[in-house]
Amino acid sequence: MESRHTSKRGAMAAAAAEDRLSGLPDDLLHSILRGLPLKHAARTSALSRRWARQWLRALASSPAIDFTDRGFARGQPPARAAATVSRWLGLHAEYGAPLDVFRVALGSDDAASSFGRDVVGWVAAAVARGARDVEMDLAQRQGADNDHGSSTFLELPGDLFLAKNALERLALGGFGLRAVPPGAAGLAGLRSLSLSHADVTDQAVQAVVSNCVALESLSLRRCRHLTSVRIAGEKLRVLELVRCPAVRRLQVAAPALESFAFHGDIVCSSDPDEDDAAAVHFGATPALLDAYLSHLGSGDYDDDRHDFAYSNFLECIAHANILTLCSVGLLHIDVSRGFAIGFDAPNLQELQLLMPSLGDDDVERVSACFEFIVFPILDRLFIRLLAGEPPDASGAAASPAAGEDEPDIVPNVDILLDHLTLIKVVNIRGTRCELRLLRFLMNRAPALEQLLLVTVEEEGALGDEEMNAIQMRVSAMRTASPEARVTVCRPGEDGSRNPAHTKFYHEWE
Amino acid sequence: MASPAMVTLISSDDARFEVTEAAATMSQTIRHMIEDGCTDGGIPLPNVPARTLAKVLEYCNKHAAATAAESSAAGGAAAGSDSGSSSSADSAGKDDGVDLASFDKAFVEVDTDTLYDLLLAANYLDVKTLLDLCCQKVADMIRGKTPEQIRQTFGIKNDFSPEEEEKIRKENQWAFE
Repeated sequence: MESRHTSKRGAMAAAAAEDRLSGLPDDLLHSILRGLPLKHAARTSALSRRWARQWLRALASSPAIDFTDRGFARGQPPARAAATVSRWLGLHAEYGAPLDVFRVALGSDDAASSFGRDVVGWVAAAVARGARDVEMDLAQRQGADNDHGSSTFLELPGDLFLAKNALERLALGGFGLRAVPPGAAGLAGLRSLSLSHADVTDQAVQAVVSNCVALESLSLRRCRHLTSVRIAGEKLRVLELVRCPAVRRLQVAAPALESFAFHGDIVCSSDPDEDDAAAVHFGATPALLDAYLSHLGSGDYDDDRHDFAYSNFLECIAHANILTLCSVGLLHIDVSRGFAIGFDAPNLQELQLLMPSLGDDDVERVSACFEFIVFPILDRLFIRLLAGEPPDASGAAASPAAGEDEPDIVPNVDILLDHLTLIKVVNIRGTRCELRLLRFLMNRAPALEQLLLVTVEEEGALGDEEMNAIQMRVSAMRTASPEARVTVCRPGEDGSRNPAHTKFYHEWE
Repeated sequence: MASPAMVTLISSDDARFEVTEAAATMSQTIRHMIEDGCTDGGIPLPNVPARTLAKVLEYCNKHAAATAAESSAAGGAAAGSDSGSSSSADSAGKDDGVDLASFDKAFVEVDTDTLYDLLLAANYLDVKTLLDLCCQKVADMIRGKTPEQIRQTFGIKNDFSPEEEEKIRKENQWAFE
């Protein structure tokens, strides 16, 4: 059984004299091309005549086809992208390979008019050929600003999902679903449904979800006609509601829910006569592991009316292990403190705070949050500051400047974070308010092992001297844990633990 | 333990290799020949030279041994005769997984000529995992490069007329940005 280890040849030979690669049989070239992301496979079309059509042929024999590369949707006119998809589907049908996964993302302001029928035909063909996983996103070009704007939907014909099929995962972006019967047999087997920028009603969502008894994952994004969302699913584990700007009520009955994300306006009761002030109803979700609740970048809100809705919402998910909150939410906690009774987050091990700005008010809100909610076993705290341009000069400006050493007014809050071992702040600049926040936290974390400060990148990136200054100032702080290690580093040097939530919906697109 | 069944493989340049049947039958081609009873006097492989066959067998020996270790670990655990020894065999199996991945990675760190030889041999001998490994290695060498860099790496001659190349690039313009 002794194997003879031939000595490993080190580096690749430089430019090969003879082109043996092009001489390989087609099926080997196709196997190679299928190992490449779409974009890099498509690039090989420019190598030589031998290669010009190989990448498409390679795809034609593949059971999984993914045209969701952003470059594919954005780097060419939608009509050309559509032509490529059509050509490929034709080749694939000719070749007769099984089709398992079919994903396409196109930019499409005029999808409904110019190639809408093609798109509907693709979906029908993929479903008819037994695809398990179909994704069709026509909303790639429509940016986040279009949430409230008018745009067209491609209306799906009502008979598309009437027949039984193999679909398990369906993701649609930019479609109108008014003609699709929610009880269609072809939707009943879904385990994952994602609707983005869809023209869909409250009733339809409720009906589809109750029809899909196996549904484990539901994502609703930018569905601006939704106002009152009622979701009941025995098997639902993942629920995501993102940028559905008109949602005012939310009812969830999902006993198996593990992961929940909400990004949008503060949910509130818009009708003052409504006797039920709580706009959010959650049934028991004992398995909830992580929750994301953020309102950054959403529309205006009215503090006086909405504060109760926020604490109510937060209390519904406070038993998670991992939580991400934003500064808008903290503001509401701060306002609520006078009226509402605080509560426990008994299982919370990881908290992430998204802070687009950090002024004195924000520091106080963070401290208010720790006063209002009790975190008995919090282990990790992540604070994500705004990347990009530096904050304006209003008191929070960057500063190893004069007046710095005056005794700092640290919020005087009587709390103890005695399980906290890690604090990580991302996009730090070394402003007075940042240091003030750190002083507040470090004073209350006797078990702290590590404080990690990751500096901003690009615009306003810090020089070595500034980084050293931060390091010195933070190290000199009076802390409850003298053992804590302080590290200041650049993003590229940061190999430390990241929060569970690294997708930030306000930065999205 | 009985000594494992051995077979003899004969390369295109008449070199003879004694290997276990377990290693040899990682090749579906050889498996079929053995099943058909064509093993007397050794199995001729007229498409594979000794240099390449040695390399392929290095791969097969390694993987066949790992598979054997794994299944004996699983067997020990199933028998449940000695929980101590089965758990140690278990952890040995896991180490093998890591070991195998790094073996594979190092195995395809070769010059392109050797890589093509391996590809063609794996294809002819029908060793699926080795074929996949080699294809992915070539794909990784293509990935992230511009067409010019790919041509240079693999010595591909550009036989397009300027008009043809222009047309192709336009067709798939998005991929070149």
